[in-house]
Amino acid sequence: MDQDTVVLSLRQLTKHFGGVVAVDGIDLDINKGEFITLLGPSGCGKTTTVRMIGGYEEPTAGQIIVDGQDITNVPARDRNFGMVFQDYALFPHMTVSDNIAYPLRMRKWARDRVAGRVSEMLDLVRLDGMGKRHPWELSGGQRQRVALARALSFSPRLLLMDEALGALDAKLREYMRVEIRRIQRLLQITTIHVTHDQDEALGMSDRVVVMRQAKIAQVAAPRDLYTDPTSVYVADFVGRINLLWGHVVEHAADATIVELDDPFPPATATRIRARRTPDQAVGSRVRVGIRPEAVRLVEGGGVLAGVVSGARFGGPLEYVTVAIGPDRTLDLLRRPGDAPPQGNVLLDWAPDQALVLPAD
Amino acid sequence: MRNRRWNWLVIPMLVAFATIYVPAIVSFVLISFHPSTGPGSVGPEWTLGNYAKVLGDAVYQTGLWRSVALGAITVAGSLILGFPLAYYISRYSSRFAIAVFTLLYVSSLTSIVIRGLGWITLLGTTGPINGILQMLGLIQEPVIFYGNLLGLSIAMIHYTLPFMVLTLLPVMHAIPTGLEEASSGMGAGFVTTVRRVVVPLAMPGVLAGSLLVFAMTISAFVIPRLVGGLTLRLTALLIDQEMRTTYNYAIGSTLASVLLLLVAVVVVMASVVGGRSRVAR
Amino acid sequence: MATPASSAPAASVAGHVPAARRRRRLDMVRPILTGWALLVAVFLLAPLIIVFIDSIGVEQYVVFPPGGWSLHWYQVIPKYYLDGAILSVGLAVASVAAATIFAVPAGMAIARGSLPGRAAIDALLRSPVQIPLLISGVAFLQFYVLIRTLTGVTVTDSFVGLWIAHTIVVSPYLLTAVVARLSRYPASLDEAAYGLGAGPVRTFFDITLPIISPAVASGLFFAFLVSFDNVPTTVFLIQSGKTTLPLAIFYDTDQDLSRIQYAVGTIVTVVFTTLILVAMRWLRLLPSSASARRGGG
Ligand SMILES: Nc1ncnc2c1ncn2[C@@H]1O[C@H](COP(=O)(O)OP(=O)(O)O)[C@@H](O)[C@H]1O
Ligand SMILES: [Mg+2]
Repeated sequence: MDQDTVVLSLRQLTKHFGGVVAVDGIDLDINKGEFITLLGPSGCGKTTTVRMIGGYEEPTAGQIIVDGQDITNVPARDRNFGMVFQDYALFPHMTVSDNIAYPLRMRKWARDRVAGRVSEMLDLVRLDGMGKRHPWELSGGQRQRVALARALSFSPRLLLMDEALGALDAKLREYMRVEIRRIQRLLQITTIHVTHDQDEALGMSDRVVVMRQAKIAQVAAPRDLYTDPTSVYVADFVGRINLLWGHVVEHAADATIVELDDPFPPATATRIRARRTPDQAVGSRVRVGIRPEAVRLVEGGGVLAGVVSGARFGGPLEYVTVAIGPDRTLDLLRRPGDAPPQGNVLLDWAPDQALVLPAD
Repeated sequence: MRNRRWNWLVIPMLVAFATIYVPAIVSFVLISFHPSTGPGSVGPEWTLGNYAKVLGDAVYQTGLWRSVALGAITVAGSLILGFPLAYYISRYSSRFAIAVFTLLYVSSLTSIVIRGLGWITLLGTTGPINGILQMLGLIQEPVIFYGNLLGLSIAMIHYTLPFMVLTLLPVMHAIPTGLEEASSGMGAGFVTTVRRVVVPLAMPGVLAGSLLVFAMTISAFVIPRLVGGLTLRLTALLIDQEMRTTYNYAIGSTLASVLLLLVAVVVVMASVVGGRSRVAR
Repeated sequence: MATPASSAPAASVAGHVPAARRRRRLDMVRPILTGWALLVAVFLLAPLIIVFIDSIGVEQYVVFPPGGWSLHWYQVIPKYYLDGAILSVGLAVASVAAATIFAVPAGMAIARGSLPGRAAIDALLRSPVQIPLLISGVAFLQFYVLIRTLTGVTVTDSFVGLWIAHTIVVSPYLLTAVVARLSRYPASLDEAAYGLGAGPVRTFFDITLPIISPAVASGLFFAFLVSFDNVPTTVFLIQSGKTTLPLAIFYDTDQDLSRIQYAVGTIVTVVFTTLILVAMRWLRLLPSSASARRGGG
């Protein structure tokens, strides 16, 4: 984000479907040229949000502001946004070229200008030579690219994509992530993308908006979301994390001291040093979250003791499960080349890697 | 995405129906409650006399029973011919099966009057059917097909058969062939498999097809008029006679109301059967 | 097998039936069913073939088999059959056109709108196919008589009277076709058009109509055939003067059966069969379930 000029603002955006609150007072600013992803489990309101932005759904309350103008009541066709639908919504009776040309015809472009732009767009999405085909003659990935070309051909102010990669198989999805990002950077088009796939969200976006039950849980760059989640919900939704119960004992200069609740075997320290988090008051109940890759096996000392109880193979990664109490386990990531740990082990981590999160 | 903004588009058709179609249906039903006062007119008084007459008079009673009997015979005949045919078309995709399927469509869409013409000759005392039967030595004297339920039901089966098969087909297609293979794999013969697996699963289609054919038959007009003749006194023919020959609108409307009620009951039964089979799936 | 398979324990039976024997029995099924289908095909074709054979006999009166062959009857078809054909086609085209204007928008409202009492409205607008054509004839006759009594306007025996009745009778074919097609029409197609800059009217003519038009065309086609061949309704609404083609054949058959009717019948059958085959083959028009609901003829 070179220019931090806000293009789109959502102000207290709300949508009710009868008694169902699909979107509950969302505030969000999106910057020019940014690729932003709405991430969350199914039913959390992502589609409804993006459909309100596109003008396909009327908000119950709140405003949508583009370049300082309130467009809440502007119809979809006058918003000048491109949208890629989950099912692509290609017009089956039109060729690929006609599909891409449709928004240009609506804008009354001259014939040769339309032809020029269509062939540019076919080049851009690497479909040159496919213009005369019909949608049913294309593969899923090709259709997806036609939908993208059609949404971009008229140089919209904003690109919206609702689960646009959802219908593709895993390999193609990875490839299209890169393709879409390449095109987006090239055109420098502000993009709002919706997905429930955290890999996709983290891998493509400048910023991710994590949604939870019609509300925004956190907005952050992918790396920050992973390293500095502000809630158990986000920490758990974005990547794997071990969570322990405890309460804050004191805030030291370089760490917050947490007393763990869980029943542990004797001779284990139950007071641990965690990342300094002064906004959690002393005495408050918290969750301590440690990513598996932050957990190290040590010969002596360490934070917790445990017994290896299992391992899960996952290609280059292997998660090892350690029982640290009667009914409590902790996962750690076995580094490539290390011998598989067995029996009693001692676990350790850097205080900064132990997140202190509100208990909810 | 249901949206209020489409609603108004229904208005023209709804208005046309409310001002023409509904009054048309209501008008003859109302007339059935007034006494006849001569050809083409009814009196202002209200009466149930027409119904008493229609349901009590032997002529009309016989007509009603004959119509129902014709319906039952036609249902049985089109089911006997149609069930194996539907099974055949649904299980074999040979050229011949497709040709028969096409023939069903074409047959169901060719002019009913012209098919009636064909049956008049086919069923005549010197017609080809009697000719073949005599040639085979099965009969000495020609069989009389005209003016009785025998000839008429043959022609009616011809008329309704495509509708029976086209109703059975989707149900047959929906029965997984795997079930039949499983049954014969367990040692059941073909007949057992059909009886134990295909027939029970095809039952919703059989019921729907039978009700449809029954409703079509009891209210059919062209074939009964051309092939059956007036002496059969089927309800449909009596309605025509009262309306166009004696101009007794009161009795004609009453007969039409009774027939409509009968058809409505059958149609409602069919939709109940259809609704249930959809739930079951 | 001496014992019926159904009474024997299922698990043991398969082992006891010699494989060759089972195979042979299964192999019998197909020829038997094919034979049955052939029989039914002959049954279906018989009246149509007979109509043709009867049309080329020499005798004035229809006797079977004809004593000789002649195309004479095709040359002496009276002019009123041609007039009847023109009236039938005109009536069918006018009725189908009017029905389209009413039923296509209504279908859109039923499929996409949020009509209060949608099920009831849907049932009402589809009901003319459920009601026997004969009853529709009675209904319109009584309605027109009532109109004449109340206003003095005569609608019976007029083209308008026929047109109104036929329009109502065939409109459900179009309605059903539109509703069925729209029920599997993704809403996103129209939304995509709006988002790309098209208004509702533009979207209807650019996107919706072309996509649903094969279904509408098939509805049109069946509505046309139903209107063309409708004797039971028409017979009540024409008492004198010009008649439609099928009604002319119907009346003449009643009065005096002659080979001329068979000649006309053959021409109509050839023309219609060709139309139907073309529609099925090249336009891929298959009747919606509506045509299987055709009320008695
Ligand atoms: N048209 C609608 N009518 C009624 N409820 C809806 C409609 N669209 C969405 N909802 C409800 O709103 C909530 C959010 O839906 P949606 O925005 O589709 O979620 P997501 O895209 O995150 O899966 C869900 O509970 C859903 O059932
Ligand atoms: Mg969604």
